[in-house]
Amino acid sequence: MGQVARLPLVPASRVQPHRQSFRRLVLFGTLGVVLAAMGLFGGLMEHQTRELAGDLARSLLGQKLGQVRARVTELLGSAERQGRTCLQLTPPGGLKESDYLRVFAQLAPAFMQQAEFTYLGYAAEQTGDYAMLERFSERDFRLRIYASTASGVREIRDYRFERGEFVLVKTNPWDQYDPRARPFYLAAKAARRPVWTQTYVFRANEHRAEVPGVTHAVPVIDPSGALQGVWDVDFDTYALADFLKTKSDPQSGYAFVLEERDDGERMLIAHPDLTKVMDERRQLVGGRQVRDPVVGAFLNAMKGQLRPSRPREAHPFEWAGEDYLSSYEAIGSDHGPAWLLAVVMPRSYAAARLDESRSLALLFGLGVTAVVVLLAAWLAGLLATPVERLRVAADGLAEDSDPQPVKVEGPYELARLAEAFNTMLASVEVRRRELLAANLRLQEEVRQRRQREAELEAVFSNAPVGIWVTDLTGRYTLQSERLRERFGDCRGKTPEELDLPPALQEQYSLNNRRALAGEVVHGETAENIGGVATYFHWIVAPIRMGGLVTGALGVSIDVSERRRAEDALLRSQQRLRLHLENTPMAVIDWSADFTVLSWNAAAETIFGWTASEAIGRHGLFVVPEAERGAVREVWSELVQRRGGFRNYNQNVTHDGRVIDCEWYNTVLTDEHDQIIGVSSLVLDVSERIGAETLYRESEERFIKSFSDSSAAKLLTRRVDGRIVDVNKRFAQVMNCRREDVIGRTTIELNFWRDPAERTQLMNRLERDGEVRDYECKLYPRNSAPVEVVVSMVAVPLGADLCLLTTFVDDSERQAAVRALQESQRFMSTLISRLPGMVYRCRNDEEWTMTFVSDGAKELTGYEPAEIEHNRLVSFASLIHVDDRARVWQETQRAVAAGMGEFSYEYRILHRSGEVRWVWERGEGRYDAESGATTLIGFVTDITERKLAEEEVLKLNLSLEKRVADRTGELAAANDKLKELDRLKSEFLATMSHELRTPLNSIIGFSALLHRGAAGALNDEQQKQIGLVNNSARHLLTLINDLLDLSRIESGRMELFPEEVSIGDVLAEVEATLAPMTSHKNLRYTTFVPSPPPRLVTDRKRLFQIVLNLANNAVKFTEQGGVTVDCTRLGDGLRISVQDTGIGIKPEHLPMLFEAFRQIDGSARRVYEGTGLGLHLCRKLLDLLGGHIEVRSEAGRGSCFAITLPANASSGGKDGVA
Amino acid sequence: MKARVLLVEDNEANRYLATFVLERAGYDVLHASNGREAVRLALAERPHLVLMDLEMPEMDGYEATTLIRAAAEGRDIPVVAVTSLAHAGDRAKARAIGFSDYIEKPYDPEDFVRRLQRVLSRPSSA
Repeated sequence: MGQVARLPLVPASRVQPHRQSFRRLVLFGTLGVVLAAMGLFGGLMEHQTRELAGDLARSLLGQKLGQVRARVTELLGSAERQGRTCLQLTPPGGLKESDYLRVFAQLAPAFMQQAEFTYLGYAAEQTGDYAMLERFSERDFRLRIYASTASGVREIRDYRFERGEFVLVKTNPWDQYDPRARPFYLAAKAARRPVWTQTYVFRANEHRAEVPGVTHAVPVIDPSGALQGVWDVDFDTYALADFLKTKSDPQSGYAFVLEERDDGERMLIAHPDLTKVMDERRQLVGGRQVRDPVVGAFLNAMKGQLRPSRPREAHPFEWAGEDYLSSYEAIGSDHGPAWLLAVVMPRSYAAARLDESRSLALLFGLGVTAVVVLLAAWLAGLLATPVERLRVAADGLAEDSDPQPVKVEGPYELARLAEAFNTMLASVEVRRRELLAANLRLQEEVRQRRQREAELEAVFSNAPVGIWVTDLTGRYTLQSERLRERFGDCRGKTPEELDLPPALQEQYSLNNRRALAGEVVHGETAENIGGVATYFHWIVAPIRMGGLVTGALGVSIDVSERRRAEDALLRSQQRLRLHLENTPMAVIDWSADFTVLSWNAAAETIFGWTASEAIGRHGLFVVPEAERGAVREVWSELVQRRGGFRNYNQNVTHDGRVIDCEWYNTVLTDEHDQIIGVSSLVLDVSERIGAETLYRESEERFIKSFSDSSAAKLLTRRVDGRIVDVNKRFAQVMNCRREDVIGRTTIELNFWRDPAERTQLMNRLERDGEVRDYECKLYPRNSAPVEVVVSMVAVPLGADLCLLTTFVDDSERQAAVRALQESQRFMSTLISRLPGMVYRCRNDEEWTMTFVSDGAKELTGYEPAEIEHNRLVSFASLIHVDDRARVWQETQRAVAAGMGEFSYEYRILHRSGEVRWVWERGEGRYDAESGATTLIGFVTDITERKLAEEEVLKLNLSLEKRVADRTGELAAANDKLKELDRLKSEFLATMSHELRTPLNSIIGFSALLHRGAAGALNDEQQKQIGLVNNSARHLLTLINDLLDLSRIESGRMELFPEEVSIGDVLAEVEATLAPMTSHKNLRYTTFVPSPPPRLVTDRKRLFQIVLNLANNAVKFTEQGGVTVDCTRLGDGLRISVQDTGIGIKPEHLPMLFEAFRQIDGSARRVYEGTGLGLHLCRKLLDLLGGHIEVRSEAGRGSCFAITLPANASSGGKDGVA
Repeated sequence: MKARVLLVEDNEANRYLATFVLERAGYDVLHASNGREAVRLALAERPHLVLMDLEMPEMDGYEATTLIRAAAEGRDIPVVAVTSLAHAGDRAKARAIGFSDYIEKPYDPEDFVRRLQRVLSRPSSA
């Protein structure tokens, strides 16, 4: 297989390396877009920053201010609520000393919860007593009462709060404290209503230092309008400061509270830096003075502008080179403290917050960029990978490195692209393979063409024919080797230019011209080559290319040999024709179907028919009737086996002579080995056959007897005595070889001691014509003389008269005599030993024995000698007197019939007086010499056998008698039985009649009673009389069935066939059973084909049968139903009754139709019945020519089916016996 | 006017039964216990219907009916065989003699009456 040059499918150019990769393009493109978007976004953000900063600052300030305000309002509110609570607990005349412990015990729990309150106290107007709850820490407090003792001494009593009541801890001497001088008391007294004090300093005691604070003071005014006392709720401003501290931050700013004093001053009362100080005992020990320059700057900036009407503005101010923003709000009400809440914040903070959000945005932007870049990279990868794969595959395709289909993955378009690529790949692959195959074919074609060319060349050079090609002008352009040998190189020449006689030149030129004109020319010419006439057969044909003649092609073949052979054949045919015409043999040609086709003169002579008479006739016309079969066989053998070349048969001539003919038949076949006919040569051999047959037959016989004879034979010529032939035996006897003696004389061979003996023999021959039993001696060579008996006879053998001499060896005869004697002795021994008597006797009435064997003694009791020649007794006298005549007659009949054999049995009288049976077999022999007949035979004792036979005979006779006796007895018994049966049937018929009479009144009365016709019955009577009626009806059914059966069995059942409509019968059955089926709630269905069939039968009996079956079906079915189905069956009908009842067990089916059978005892108890129904049905159906069968499955149901003939009176048995 | 029925029956129980049934059905019943008596009564009384048992002493039902049919007075009287002879031959014989119907014993009393009414309602007996 050749390699195929691979075509470059793609131009071998490479993509320039500076081109951007797909991946990079996607990546940078995406990145560019993202960056541009971010730049735009950044610019927009920067533009908005300022406004945003203002908004942010306002929002932050407002938020903080709101928180502070909420806290302050809450503080104030809770103090005011506490004040109201206290007032409610205060009696109208104010708290007395005795009330303190009770009232404060009530207030204590709430105070404990309100950690912001520092004190809660009550000061009495009249006494100056004071009771207060005082807080040490968030959870720890005490009650301190300033009061007078009974003796009027002022003292301070401290109480601890334990389990809901105050316990006196200690009493201290009065410390001169008078609450009525305190600012809160004075404020309340002046206002005569609940009032807030300005900030003042709470008095220090042993627990705490002085702290600034405010008090909510509630005056207690009695109904008369007199001031009874004042409640105070106090908290120090540190509490507020602590709160502000939690909300302050140097960066994000802080809040503080200013108080508008009565003198118009603004006092800082709360500031984040104004904190409580705790000592080691966790007790408040006073505060720190705060000097906040920012507050000062704020106040300066806000000078004259502090109006509560503009809260939540961001007011800018500057301090120490830094921009601040501030916001403030006045809380104030009619009764509240006049406080200003303010918040300040460095502007840089808002900017920082903004920066923070900006950097967040930047961070976010970076993150987005990163994600986008990754996404772009992934996308680029996603797009690039399949593209790359496609590229690799395409490269593979271009380089033809076994391209594989690209795996289809990635986005839809790429997948489609890959699919398209794969399709292209497949088609390219197919195309490539096709190209490959085409290339191979092309190579093969080229190879074959080369081979053809080579062959053509070989043909041209070696062909035993001349081949030439001419162009359109008739000039030779090609010539084969043969042609070159004939004409030399004739290429470029025309025929006229060849070295040829002008006639041939003209002929060949004409051939070429005719071929160029489109004709195919062929013919023969003779050329003189080397002095020998050589014949050429030639064909010249046009060469056509695309329908145009482009030249002429010629072929010439040397046919000289063929011509010579043809000439020879022609001559030989002529000779053969001459032979055939003159032959004495008939020559007949036959067609394949044995019809005469040709009939020569000799045939006319032999058969007498002329050719015109014979031709066209069937070949058997020359065959006599007797031979036709054989001839047909010969013909068929000829045709089939192409055999049977030579045949003898008889033929018949025109004038009716039968002649013997010898036929030589040759089967003629065509080139396909098909028989086209037979050619026969016929010779009339009638005369020859006659003589020849006789001669050949006798000669054959003679030769056979001569050579095979056991006697020595010699054949000599009468004329000169020379030996013509000797047989084997002669050669053996005379101890010579056949070939040594032929052609010589017996004298020469010294066979005779005395030649005179031969002369004497010859004389006797002359005298008698033959020599018989002439005894003489012969002298074989080198051995003892042989005594022979010579016979001689003259025989004509061919043209010569010959003498046939037979020598019988006398010594052999002696031996034969000895052998005979031996044989006779053996025979006699055998005979004497035989268990019977062999005899020979004369054929007379005395049975005169001429010989009896020793067996006679045993057989008869007499010695053979006593019997022979009737010496003591004649054999006839021994034959039983009753058999004597028969034996004689049978013997004479056999002898008269032609010496036939005879054989018989008879009795003889033994010498002992005993009678014996014998069997004799013998034959009569006619003795020509005496002219009398001799009987020869054998007699044997068969007494034993005879006795046995008699015994058997006797036995047989007695047996026959016994059988006859028994038969007689049986016949009598049968008659008696028949009579009894008849009597029984008669009795049954009568009985049933007699039974019906009383039953009539039983059934009638019980029915009447049951229906109440004779007056109403009670239930029990009703039931009982119903049972009587049922039982009577059952009895009636039984009687009816019995009656029917007895009629059938006695043959007295009469049938009354009429045309019956099956539909009516089945409807009547259904109607009859309707009460029972509806009572048992069973489905009952009847199917009748349409139109309803009619048939000729006994309506009553048919009704009885179907009713019986359907009644049984209903009776034995508790659930489901009964289906009666009628179908046509041939001319007749099939009626099936199918139920869903208890069914029948398989073992019970066989006895179902027997009389008095009801399947099992338990069923009998439940279902009353006679057990006769089915038996009766079958019997009735037998009468109607029908048939019944049953199919059943225990527990599933039964199906009884009957068939009925179209006409019961013709199809069935005759019901009338 | 009540229809008159001659009941010919030798069995006493059956006679009683038939009489009971017939009277309840509204017939006048005449009685005969053998064929001879039946012929005499039938010809003398000319009932509307004769119910004839077939097997009877002295003269059987066949003979009696033949005689009734033979007389001019009895020619038109319907005679119904009421018998326990169940042989098909008996039925054929009865039809041949000229019985109007053939009722087999034992019979159902209601059925019995229906059969008689059917015979009586035939135009020939009117």
